[in-house]
Amino acid sequence: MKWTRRQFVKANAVSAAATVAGISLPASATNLITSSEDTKVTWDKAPCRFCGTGCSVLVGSQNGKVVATQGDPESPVNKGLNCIKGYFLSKIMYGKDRLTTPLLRMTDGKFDKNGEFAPITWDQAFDIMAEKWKKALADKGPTSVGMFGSGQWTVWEGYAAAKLHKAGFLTNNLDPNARHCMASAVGGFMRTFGIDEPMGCYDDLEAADSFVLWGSNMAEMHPILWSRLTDRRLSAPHVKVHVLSTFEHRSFELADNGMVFTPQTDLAILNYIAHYIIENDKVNWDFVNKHTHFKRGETDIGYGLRPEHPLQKAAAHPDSGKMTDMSFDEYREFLKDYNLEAVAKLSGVPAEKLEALAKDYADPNVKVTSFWTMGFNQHTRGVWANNSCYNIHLLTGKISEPGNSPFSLTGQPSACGTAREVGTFSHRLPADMVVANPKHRKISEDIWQLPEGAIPPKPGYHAVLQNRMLKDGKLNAYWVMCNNNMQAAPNINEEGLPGYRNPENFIVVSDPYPTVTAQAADLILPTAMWVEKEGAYGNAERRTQFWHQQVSPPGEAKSDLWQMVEFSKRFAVEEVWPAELIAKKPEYKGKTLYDILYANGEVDKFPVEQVDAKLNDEAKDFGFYLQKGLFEEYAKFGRDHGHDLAPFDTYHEVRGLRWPVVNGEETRWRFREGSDPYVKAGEGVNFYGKPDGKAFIIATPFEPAAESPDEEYDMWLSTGRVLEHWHSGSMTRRVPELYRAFPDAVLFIHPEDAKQRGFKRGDEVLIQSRRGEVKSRIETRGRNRPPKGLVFMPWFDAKQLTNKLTLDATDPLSKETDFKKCAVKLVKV
Amino acid sequence: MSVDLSKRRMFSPSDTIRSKQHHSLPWLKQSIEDGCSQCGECIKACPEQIIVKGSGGFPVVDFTKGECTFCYQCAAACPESLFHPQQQSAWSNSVNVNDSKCLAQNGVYCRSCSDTCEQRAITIKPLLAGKAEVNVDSEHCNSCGACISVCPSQAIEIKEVG
Repeated sequence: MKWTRRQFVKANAVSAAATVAGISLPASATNLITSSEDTKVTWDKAPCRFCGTGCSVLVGSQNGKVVATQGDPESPVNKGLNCIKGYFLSKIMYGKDRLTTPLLRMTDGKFDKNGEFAPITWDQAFDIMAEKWKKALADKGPTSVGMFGSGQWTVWEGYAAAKLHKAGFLTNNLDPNARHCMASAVGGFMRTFGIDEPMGCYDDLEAADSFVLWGSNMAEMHPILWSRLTDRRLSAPHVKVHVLSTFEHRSFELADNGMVFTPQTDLAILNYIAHYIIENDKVNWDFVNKHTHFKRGETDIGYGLRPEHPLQKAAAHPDSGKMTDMSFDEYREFLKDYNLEAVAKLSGVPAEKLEALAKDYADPNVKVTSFWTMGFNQHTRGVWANNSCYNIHLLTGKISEPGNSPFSLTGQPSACGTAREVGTFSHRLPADMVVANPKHRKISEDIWQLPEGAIPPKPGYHAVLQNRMLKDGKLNAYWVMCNNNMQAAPNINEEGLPGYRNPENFIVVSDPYPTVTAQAADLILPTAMWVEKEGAYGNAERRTQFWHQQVSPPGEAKSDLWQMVEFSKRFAVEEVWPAELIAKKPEYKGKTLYDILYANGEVDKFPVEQVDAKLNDEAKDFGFYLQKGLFEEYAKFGRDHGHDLAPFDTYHEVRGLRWPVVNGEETRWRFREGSDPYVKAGEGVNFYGKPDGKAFIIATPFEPAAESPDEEYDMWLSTGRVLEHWHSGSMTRRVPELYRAFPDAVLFIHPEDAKQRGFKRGDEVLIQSRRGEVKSRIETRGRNRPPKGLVFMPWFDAKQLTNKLTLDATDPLSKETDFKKCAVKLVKV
Repeated sequence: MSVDLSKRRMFSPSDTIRSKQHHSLPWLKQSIEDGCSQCGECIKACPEQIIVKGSGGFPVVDFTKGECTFCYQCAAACPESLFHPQQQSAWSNSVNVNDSKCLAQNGVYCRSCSDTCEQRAITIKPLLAGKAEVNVDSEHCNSCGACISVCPSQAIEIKEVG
């Protein structure tokens, strides 16, 4: 706007007078001479883009850009608070290198895998993609195409991806990056309870008498939940906090009982606690008899490596999740090896500390909430660790009631709501169903209006297997969306990059920024993010939260949803499905995948007019309320099956609701009468995920890590995160304030280990494993204090690719990588 | 009768000439004014570059520039043998946190000093309302001064004892 000289003088006179008078002007007064239209900030709500806590923020936009965010005071999750990442949310979309046009590797105007990236149009991008996909499908069939997705996708993006692959391309080669994050938690839930996701909720934070952190640094990774835990600890002096980790970190600050254990021995500590409960006669017999079965898990199950790997060959029962019945007496006998003396020796934790922990779990008058994240999940026995923790809560009946809660936290904003619930895992279908189960396939085929036998029964390639199959040339047309897997996946040198650069393969990466993964691709698609599209996330306490599109994406950037749905138009069903399948549904003849999957009478049944926001690019482009249609079709899977979601429009009005939402009421504690509508009067507790309503107490032993330090590679390496950066840093490292706060990754090491190897703080160091090497700098101070023999390195830094070092050993049951344990040595540069 | 040259400091306007963060060199047998020729060898020898010319041109440790690593190179370089042998303790100093200046004690989240303390002598315990309690464990503190320059509110000082 233009100012006249008179207006300028007047404004200055007013503020000068105010300064002299020692007052600051109210906003209304400063606006005297500015048009209110020009200064108007429009506010709307959205869940935070980062972790699984699911804080709500108020988003202020002006002139088509987000200019401010603040903690949402009406949110029951964060109650107006923000962590430092949330505080700077408004800046994540405005990095200088934001991608605004599709980019293809080309030489002389033609695709060349070894060419340089050059801008092309969306039409050209879909042309080459369709050509590569159709060639792979024709040459090798549906197992040669696939996608790696995300727990950061919106609910409908994940659902659209599941449909595109399982119902469209007829492949199960779809897996989310949540495989690196939550798969062991999923495996734990399914084995113990037969239904996924926590029974408790964040209300447990204000109700517990004792908190136990198992491999979770909440102080840095879930700061808002940590602030609630801190308030509880400090305002109720009887409350205790136990923290277990393989190195000391920020959460130890509040710990009444901090324990640093030798990597992998958490398995033994868990069994010791069960042993203590039984030997001290603290079993809640009424609960155990009514609601549990004892099971023995198969042992010696290998390490999820390639079949020819010596460790895999040496295993007696590789990948076996088999369970057999066992009696209580047999369970008690099994636990005898895990007595206090033996476990203290194995774990390196002083006996009195272990006993103090066990006492809190055993005391019937102490309500215990256990939290865990990557320490349990990124573990070659992650499912066992999850199961063993449930064992403790089941033996004591400390479950599904306020404050008594085994609670698996999540790392991504919609690891639950999208990755887990809509069926983006290579073995899953929506609402906890699995592809291997013919009844589940039938239900899905009915809802999706597919001919019988359309959904392939064999699970597809999971995350680590996708990289292996790319390298081996079996997976050839591959789309990476909403994640940074070249930086995130293990063993980059041997199992990551070779597959992306394999000349047989065509790799597409959709991202807002030129990440490490994007740069390894053949085609990069510019992507709209967060409030540049309408979205929905589901957080760790089953809370589904919606947001409206609030600004337009830059340039040609398009949402993941738009990209997938638009791409589906390129395929005539005859090019993808076998003739005998089409013959079962002749009305599909001549149709495209778009017609069958999205314009199917269900997904397209809500008109654009129902959009209650100024912006919705997808509704405008496709001519119907795409997000609502996808959500309502998806919700059919869970309604009346323990996963009930509220009607679409409700979620735009509320600060999220925790499923199952029945008769408009959310559920706080599942499986408990009075709180969970699925538990009938008189039942008390019903673990209805299992056919007879009884959960499993599963006996599994301590087994060693896949790789431990030896004479040559003499230190443990644990990878992880820091407060200021979220995962691979592709967003937070583009926020100047966050970048400055923690610019480069460092190697946290014990001062004596550094000294012994001739390193001073700040020295450059070469970290070597059997698989690769990375340069970093020595840090003997700061927030993390490893014990002797262990180093810790965050993986957010694209200049220091920590995952060149890690081993692609996975939990054989969950297929999740152990990013917390491998052996390295330090060499002077 | 010898003259106590250190009494000359009394004539200086102390805060401007002698900063609060200027302190005696480690292992010093007596006051620096007694016997120091101001040759500057210790200043050159210090790998951390924390020794500067202080009041009257005599060398002092300036903790705003960094910390002492107890490498003994200043003492070893001294031609006048003003220093105790390295086996003896370097100082009997203590560290003091000014409660009213300290951010952590006044509701601002800050862990700069405890993060930088290699001895783990500084512990910060959260209190209600976002405040925290800061404790310095004199048993573990070696008064290296690492916490001084990183404190955003200059709330930490070394107290010379004896």
